[in-house]
Amino acid sequence: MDQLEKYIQNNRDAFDEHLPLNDLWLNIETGLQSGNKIRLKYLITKIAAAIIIIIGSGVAFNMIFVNDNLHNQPNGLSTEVYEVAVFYESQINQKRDELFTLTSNIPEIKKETDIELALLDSALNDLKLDLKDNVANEEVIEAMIQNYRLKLQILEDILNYVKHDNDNSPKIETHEL
Amino acid sequence: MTVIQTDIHKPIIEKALQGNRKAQHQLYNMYSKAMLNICFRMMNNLPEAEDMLQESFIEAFRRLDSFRFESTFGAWLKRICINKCINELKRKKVVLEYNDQWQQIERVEPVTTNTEDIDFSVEKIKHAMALLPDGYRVVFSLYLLEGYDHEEIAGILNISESTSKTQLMRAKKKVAEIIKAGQIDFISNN
Repeated sequence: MDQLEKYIQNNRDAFDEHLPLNDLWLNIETGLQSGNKIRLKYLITKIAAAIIIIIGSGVAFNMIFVNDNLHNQPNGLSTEVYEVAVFYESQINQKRDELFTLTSNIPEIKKETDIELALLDSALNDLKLDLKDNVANEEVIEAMIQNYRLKLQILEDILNYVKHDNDNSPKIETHEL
Repeated sequence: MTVIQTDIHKPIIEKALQGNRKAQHQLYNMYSKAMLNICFRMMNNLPEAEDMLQESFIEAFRRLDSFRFESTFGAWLKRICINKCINELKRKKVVLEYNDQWQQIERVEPVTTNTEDIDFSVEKIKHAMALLPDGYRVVFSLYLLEGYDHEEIAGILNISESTSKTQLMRAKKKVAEIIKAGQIDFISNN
């Protein structure tokens, strides 16, 4: 052991100079009280942003559901649009199931995600009912696909967040030395 | 035969596990100073260290059910703090491991410094630590102040043991050099 090591060892306590401020505990307490809400804050922010975008592109989205008269399926969608919708909805359901299975021990995630996704659905449905005077075109289809992709992206983000969180958490259990 | 309790704070920890805020506050009061200073040495920045401290305590209380009393609560909490800090440093793309080129330099350069004539003080060492490259400071702190060995540091930082040893030697050398240079400045200024 050299002089430097010896000196540090003999004066170890003097190296802890900083004292925590009083409000740090208050922040911790608030963090504990809000529980998973804080962890979901980032996700909810993203979802809220998505709602705004969807409302913006909702006009186009509704054109398809309401006004496409070509090759209509029983639900009013053209064959092409219907196929796209089925594809994306199955993807979304798959991701949603995966997320809820992975977070079955955290009911808050299901609750918050359901609420936010329901908001998206509601926004889309409202617009679908309101808009009746447009015609479908490529841009409209593109807008609809964007909407589905956005929803998928949100679910993927939550999944990545949860998976990342899970990857980090088992390490703590092995940190007892 | 007496059963030795692993953690003298077991009753408080058990209460905290049940969500007892008073018990959690007691644990915070006992460990927050030490943990804040650990975070500070890792981050080299007090506001960031405070953020890491808050996040670490929140995580620790949330995951208290995973604490098995196989170590002390302090050692367990310390690892949470260190992991939080390392994740944050990595997120900020801070370099914690220097490449082979640095290590080759180590092989040709003498890695020890004569410390006999150096007048050490806590303040001087802390000042020198703050000037170290991040990777050196982290290894220096983990080894000399937090008490981890090279095998543990290698595991924590996901580097090889030899890298840990090399970075420690170089960090010590740098600290000694900075303090020595300060002494020269002091002498020349007087």
